[in-house]
Amino acid sequence: MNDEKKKLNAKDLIVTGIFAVLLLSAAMFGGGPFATIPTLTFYFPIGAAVLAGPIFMLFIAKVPKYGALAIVGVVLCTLGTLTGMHWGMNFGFLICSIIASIVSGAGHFKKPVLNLIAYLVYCIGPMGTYFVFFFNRESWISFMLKKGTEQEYIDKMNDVASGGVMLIMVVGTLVVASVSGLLGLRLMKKQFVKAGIAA
Amino acid sequence: MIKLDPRTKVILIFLTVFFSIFVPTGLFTCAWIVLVTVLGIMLGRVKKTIRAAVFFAALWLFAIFILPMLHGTVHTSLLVWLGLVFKCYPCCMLAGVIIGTTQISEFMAAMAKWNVSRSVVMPLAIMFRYFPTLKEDWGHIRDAMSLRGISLSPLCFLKSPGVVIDALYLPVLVTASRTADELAASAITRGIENPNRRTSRLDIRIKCVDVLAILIFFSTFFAALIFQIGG
Repeated sequence: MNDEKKKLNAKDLIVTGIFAVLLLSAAMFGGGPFATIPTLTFYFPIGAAVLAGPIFMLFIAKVPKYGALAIVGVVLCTLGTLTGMHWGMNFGFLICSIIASIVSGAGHFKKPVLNLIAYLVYCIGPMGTYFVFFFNRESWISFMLKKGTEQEYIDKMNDVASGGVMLIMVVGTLVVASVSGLLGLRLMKKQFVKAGIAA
Repeated sequence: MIKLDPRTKVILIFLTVFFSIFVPTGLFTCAWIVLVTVLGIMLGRVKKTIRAAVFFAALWLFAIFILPMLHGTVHTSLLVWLGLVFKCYPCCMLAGVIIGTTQISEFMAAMAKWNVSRSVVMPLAIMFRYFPTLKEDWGHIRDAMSLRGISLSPLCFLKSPGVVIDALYLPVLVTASRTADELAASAITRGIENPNRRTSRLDIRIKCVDVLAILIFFSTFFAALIFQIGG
């Protein structure tokens, strides 16, 4: 690959924009139901990982360049900030997208296994907010106490947000993401390459 | 009806984000929502802004009057959820107002004035442009699927997962990548790859109204902070 091919041109940027929309919608469709049901909100990353696999794989195949995934990260981060998402999620997206870009780039964006790992890394992104939430619980609780919440609330809170939930969240996300990623690879091989849109 | 510079809108959004981070949910959140509502109405987006404000008021009243009557897990989980919602609501509402009232060419021109890298602005602009298109395409695809007797219900998925997956992903991704190619072709024809500075016919300047809007939002933010430290 020469240098000119590695730089992103206008077409790559437009493809990036459109796939960023698709990735975002997939996360919202898959994760939305989890995010709106209060006790299940911690499982949002799992839901977000369900649908995006094939989209991610096609995106890598269409724009096999280092910057592309990082730009998705920057765009999602910006959009998240604009709509007031927790900063943990935004920076999680950003950092994980960049790492995923590097992982996938290690195999010149062609090795299925590396692409799969990149997808797993990408799916860890939305968890950032929950890591911060777990980390930052004390301040959250003290604020709630000031507002007149009972002590009972804290106990319940610890029930809902225990370490086990976090473990389920991480492991579940990884499992679901690998299934979705494998599905994506299969669809790539079976359909997109043949149809010629993966070029 | 007023018109704001897109840069002012971005500044307002950042103020709102800082507000969400530093000021805990309370009376000032309501004040902020009122500000955003006034701004949205002034910008000419009346119906949707009022709807959003009413929805917020309903949630707020629910939190004040009905929530204390509940107990147990329902109470806790609703409290957690409402806490998150109240944190995000001002930003989401303002973002909705701004996206609804800013044209893409305006946005691109303003960002060019700020010297924001094109590799970030272009995907963002495309995203705003593509969301409605995706919605439309999705409707068509769902119609086509139901014509062939495929639905997204779990029952249908269990009966023939392969068919549902193919019918779900293939059309969406194929139309998306075709749209991408077409958009790229049209954008390149119109000279988006021109390395020179982007020029625009639109008159984009920071005017009195912009300064006033920023001042109002900033002073509210400041008042909230002082009140927070003092109280």
